[in-house]
Amino acid sequence: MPPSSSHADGSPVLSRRRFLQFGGVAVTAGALAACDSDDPGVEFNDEAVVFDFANDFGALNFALAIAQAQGALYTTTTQTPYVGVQDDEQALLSAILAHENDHRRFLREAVESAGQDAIPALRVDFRTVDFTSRASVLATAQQLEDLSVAAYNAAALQVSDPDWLTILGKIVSVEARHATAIRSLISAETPFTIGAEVDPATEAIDPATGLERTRSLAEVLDLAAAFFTAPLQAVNLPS
Amino acid sequence: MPTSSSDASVLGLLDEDHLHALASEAVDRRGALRQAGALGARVALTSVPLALAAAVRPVFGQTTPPTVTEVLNFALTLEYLEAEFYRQLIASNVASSREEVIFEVIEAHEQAHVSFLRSVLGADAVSAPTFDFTAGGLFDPFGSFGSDPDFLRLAQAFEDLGVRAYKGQVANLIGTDVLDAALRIHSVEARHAAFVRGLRSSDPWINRAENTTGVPAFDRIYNGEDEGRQFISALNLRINISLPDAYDEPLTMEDVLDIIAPFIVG
Repeated sequence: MPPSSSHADGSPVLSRRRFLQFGGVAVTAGALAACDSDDPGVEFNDEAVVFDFANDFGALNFALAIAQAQGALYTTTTQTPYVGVQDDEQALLSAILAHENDHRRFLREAVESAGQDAIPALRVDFRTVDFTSRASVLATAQQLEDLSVAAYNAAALQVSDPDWLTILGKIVSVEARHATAIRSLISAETPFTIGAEVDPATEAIDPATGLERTRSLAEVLDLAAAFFTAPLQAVNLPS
Repeated sequence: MPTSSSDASVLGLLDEDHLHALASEAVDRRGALRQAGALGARVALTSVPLALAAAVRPVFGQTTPPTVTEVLNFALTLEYLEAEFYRQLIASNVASSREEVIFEVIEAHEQAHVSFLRSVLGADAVSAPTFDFTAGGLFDPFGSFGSDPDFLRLAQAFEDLGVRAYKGQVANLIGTDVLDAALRIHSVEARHAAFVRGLRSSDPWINRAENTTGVPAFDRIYNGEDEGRQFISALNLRINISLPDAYDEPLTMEDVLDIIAPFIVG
């Protein structure tokens, strides 16, 4: 039984060798280090990550956490592609990875240059992902992109500075574009639904209102927590 | 921008003449489109009906932000445009059956946005304008077929524009109970945009400021998308970004209305 989480050695992802070593069960080999640092000596910390929504930096740090998870997923799947990956798929996933990496760098710089504490590099938990499987990788990517859109939309409501709000808007629409792009890889016939089946209950867009599916901040934090080894905590949320 | 009706009507006449001249001379449609692009802002600016312009935006030169009602009527105008575009598109049967299934879904979303905004605005809601999706003969969206038909170019333009339009207004809705819905429409427009771009083999996102519609007049929908700096004025902070593709930029209400003006006839 492989360890449930690989300890951080600074390597952003499982190496190909490590991946192969676990073969078919490598998919359960566990948590991968999120690539939020170029420093190979980075220390990861599984203490609870606290997002303080008393000011705008709670939202920005939460966005940074989501970008870390996305960066880690796309880093892993581009370095160890799933079986049968097509060139155009690989190109798309690589392009999305580049976007997520830029979001991650930008958000960290934004928080730190404002004199605030950015969250550390978090370890991500992809134990449920089979990186050899196209269906598993793309389903996870879709979950993360939809979660990202919902998370930005929810966190943006807590932001008081109009410039930060607009900046979150600049990122969330690109996340929504990613979501459609990933869906189109899964099924060209259902670009806005969750999964290949058209089920109104699982569409990303509420068909009755035409609005993005509602997620409260508590809900998106809960959903996001599944992708990290450390617990996520929000404080100073409006009651 | 109509600061006075006389200015606006003079410009409007000039530009209607221009448009009709273009349309009648459009033996070579590519040439016509190039000219339309060269006309630029002037074509776009002046055919917005005055009543609509007055209803959805503050007078030119006003520096205070628009009211929530103005923002919502601006959004409603865009949703009217999109909903009517998809309605006519579906009625025309120019799309493939596979595309049409999705366009029906998108039309339902846009119609739901119209209904939602009208319900919020109540008696303050502007009426639906009359649209001309040929823009005076420059386009043939509901009669053209071929590998890259006008209906897809227009759909892409309207969706990419919608994303920028909502983004440009969210800051004006801070602290209001409609911000949530505006954000949730904004991301839906981005989902639509990515889908339509995919039908035209464009990347789902905008590469730098590249206008892939092939319509020079739509350069304004993409100009500034390659912005490499982000400002937080309250903190006097400027942060550079290395990959502008990863960020969509806002457009002002005035720019958006100018861009859609050629499609509004009354």
